[in-house]
Amino acid sequence: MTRALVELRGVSFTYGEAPTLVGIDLEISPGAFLGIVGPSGAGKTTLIRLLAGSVRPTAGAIRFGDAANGNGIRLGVVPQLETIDWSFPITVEEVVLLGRADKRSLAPWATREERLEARRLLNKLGIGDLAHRHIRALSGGQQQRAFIARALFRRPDLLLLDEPTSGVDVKTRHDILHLLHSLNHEGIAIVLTTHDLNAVATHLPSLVCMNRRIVARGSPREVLTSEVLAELYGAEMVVVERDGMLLIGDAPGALRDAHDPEAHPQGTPPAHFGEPDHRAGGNAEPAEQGAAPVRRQTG
Amino acid sequence: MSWLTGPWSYAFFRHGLVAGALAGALCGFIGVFVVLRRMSYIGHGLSHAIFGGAVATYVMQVNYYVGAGVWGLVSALLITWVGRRRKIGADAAIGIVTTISFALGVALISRVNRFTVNLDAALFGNILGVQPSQIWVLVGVGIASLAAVLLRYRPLLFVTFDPEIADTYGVSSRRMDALFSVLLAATIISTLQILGVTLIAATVVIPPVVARLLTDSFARMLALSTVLGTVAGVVGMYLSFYYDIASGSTIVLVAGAMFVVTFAGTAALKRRRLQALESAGSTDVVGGVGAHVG
Repeated sequence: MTRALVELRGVSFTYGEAPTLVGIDLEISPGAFLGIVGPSGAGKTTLIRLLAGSVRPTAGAIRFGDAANGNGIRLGVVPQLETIDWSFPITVEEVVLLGRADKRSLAPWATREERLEARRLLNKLGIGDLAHRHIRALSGGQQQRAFIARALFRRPDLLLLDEPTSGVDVKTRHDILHLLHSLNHEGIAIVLTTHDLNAVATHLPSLVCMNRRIVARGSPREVLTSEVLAELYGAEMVVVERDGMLLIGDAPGALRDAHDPEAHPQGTPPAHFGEPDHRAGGNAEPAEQGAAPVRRQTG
Repeated sequence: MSWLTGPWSYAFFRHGLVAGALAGALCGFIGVFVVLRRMSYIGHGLSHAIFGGAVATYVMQVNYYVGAGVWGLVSALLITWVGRRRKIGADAAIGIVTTISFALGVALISRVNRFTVNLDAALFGNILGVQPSQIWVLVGVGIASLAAVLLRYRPLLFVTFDPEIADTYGVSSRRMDALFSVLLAATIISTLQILGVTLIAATVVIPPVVARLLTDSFARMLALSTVLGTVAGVVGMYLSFYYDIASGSTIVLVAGAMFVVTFAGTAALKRRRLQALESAGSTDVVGGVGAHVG
């Protein structure tokens, strides 16, 4: 039987005041491709930090591979791009070479083999010609690839990405998720957090929905239901299926208050979507022909 | 060339020149990490903290390097430790630890009547009174710092660039912070009596900032900052000799002039590049329209 790469049992975590995570049970198996979704403040980044071993749980236990101290598996972590100091004087190649910063060496410079491997990785990710550029001179998608290259340079068993699709356009988001797919097919387990429900519904085989605790887990079809999303976000959302794809959006009912003249006697608020009258019922049918609402309860 | 070699006939100038070059190189080298960690105030603060330690070691009649070394290292570690608390931050930690230490030094001076050391030398430096032993200390600290940075180059770079993630990549951020604290304290202690409490911060901050304006690569910044620090030390010493200005101040003023010239030069270059891009863009539009019309 294949052992899990990382196993969390009853893990809780707090930064000192309200609990950030409560009673998390989770296993990351070799070859997993898992998305973590939830509202802001749900503890997604904290869960990534726990999986990365950056913080220790305040309760419960985490087991990494076969060794209890985390030496059993190699981790590659890609942080949120917002946390990076973009004015730092560092080129793309220098970033990638940091992937093996723990390697003991008498010389500060990289070996020829390391440079060749870094270049091969950058070529594979489509940014080989940008190796000597400063990191700020790249587009959002290229920056994401540079940090994925740093993680891959470590030859990881598990790749952890914190919001890799945040702040990029649709095409770049699509490219990044396809890249992660192909890396997963090469045998690297991947865990990522995101706010982009439509992207994970289309691209990822399994999801964990969480809001301090795990609310649901399973395939996108199993967990992305109106009931789960309502519990997760505290807002009504509609899930429709079209051409075999799940599409998630704000339910018209969520805008009911915004269109209620009694709630806003001074007039309609500036953010005004569509006609108020025919949405007043709240449980509007999907506008598209052939689209059917999906309302499944998770197991 | 006599203007270059003439002053060498004076022992005080030879010692001062070597000390100025070494101190400039060392401060420029370690200053890169200081500036990139956004701890520019630490050079100023730590020199004040070590001043308190220097007074205490004098009162206790302990060797300066031993007493100030322990005091400086403890201060640097305390700053790093206190600064890790998110609610405090590095800048406030520097302010707290160093001013307390400086105040302790001043309090000791006011209590001990037999304190007769020349305060001017400690505050403003005495580069022309440098002893060979001080130069050897500088050489030792310089070699040790270079070796430490070269041997732990990538871990130090990782922790300076991305401290949150470093531990996940097998780099101990605590060890690298401690190594940085040791190197910084050693740099300040070995140059304090030469450059003085009030001027040392400039030699730690200005060369790295000038280097940063000139390059986008960490490795080149490290080399460039060391060279610029050395040049400021050497040019400052000659100007000080010929124009009879205080040596420490002249070195800092040379570094300051480097900054002004580089800042203005890089700003002008950027402006020219933007103008060239704009004119290229308007040419393209005209060409494009012409092509369509034609």
